[in-house]
Amino acid sequence: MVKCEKCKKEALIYLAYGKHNFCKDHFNEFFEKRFKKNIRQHNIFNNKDYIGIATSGGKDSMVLLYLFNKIFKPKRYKFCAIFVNEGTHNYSDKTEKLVTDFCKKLDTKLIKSSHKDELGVSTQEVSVNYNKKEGSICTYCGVMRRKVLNILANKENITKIATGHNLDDECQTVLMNLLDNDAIRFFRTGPVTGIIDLKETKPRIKPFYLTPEKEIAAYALYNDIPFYKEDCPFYKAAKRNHFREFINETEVMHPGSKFSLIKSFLKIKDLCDIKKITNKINKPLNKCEICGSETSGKICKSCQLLKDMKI
Amino acid sequence: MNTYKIKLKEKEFGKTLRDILISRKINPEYIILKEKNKFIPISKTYKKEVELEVLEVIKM
Repeated sequence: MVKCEKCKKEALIYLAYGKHNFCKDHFNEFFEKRFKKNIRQHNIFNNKDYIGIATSGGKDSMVLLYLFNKIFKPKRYKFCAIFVNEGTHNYSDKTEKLVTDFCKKLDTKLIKSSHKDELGVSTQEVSVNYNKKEGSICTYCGVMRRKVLNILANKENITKIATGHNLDDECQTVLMNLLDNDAIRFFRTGPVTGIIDLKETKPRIKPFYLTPEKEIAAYALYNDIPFYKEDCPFYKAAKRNHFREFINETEVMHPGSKFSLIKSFLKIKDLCDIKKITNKINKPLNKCEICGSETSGKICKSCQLLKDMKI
Repeated sequence: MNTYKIKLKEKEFGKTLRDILISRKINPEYIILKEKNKFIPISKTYKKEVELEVLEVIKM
């Protein structure tokens, strides 16, 4: 029997990157401690912020909501859950019910809306005639969801939007942007997104920035946190799946690679004169000609994608 | 999250679940195991026939 490194109980989980063996209780303690340390170290939010937790019903956002209730509710931090129904058949209504029920159980305020209500079109409708040259359906859905989250955050006077993005997601994003030679996107990402302060576009914060995906799943399962276990029907279309596979294989061969990649990225970001590299961001922002939201061009990305589809 | 069941064979008795999973081409880093609705570590060994539930928490 392998024992927990903190007590004499049988270890339940082994974390290869640090050669840690933990029982359930000490895994929970380790997991929560790192979550709090990441928020503190990267100055992700403070008690003056009103946080909107983007809750999709997946494991990451449901664990995030659970931890906000466990850790920050007793400290009287102001937060609520936000759910955006994408309108994907046989998926979105199920996740909406799961999130609604969990918020009721936690006694947490929930703000809900949908792509259809805010933008006039659902992801399912977009999937029928989107322009494949712009990317997969996930590109459209992601742009639309970010816009709806921002609309809801502005309506509710939310100061920051918390997302469940984890270490694995961030590794995929960093590699994807690097291989796309996209300096603006590359440097824009981080535990708090954005390079410049925007008035209407709320910063997105990532409290799980340094938490591996497997550990979030383990925490959810060990602590009976409900989450939607099926994949989105459009899951296979996502470009990041290739990068996910590559990074996971590398992590198995060389444990700790995910942490190393993100820590290297943060060091590079810290050393660079980002405004010089991404000189586009020095230009003043415009108002989107269609919806009035902040944009670097004439029309925001969401309106542009929908306009191209003649919606 | 994909889930499925595996049954241990006699020739696998005494081996750790980690070794059994690897020999069955299941990556132990991508999964969590359950026995009779209880989570179990991959360092565990068995000397009897058991049915285990495999929860694929990382997509393969």
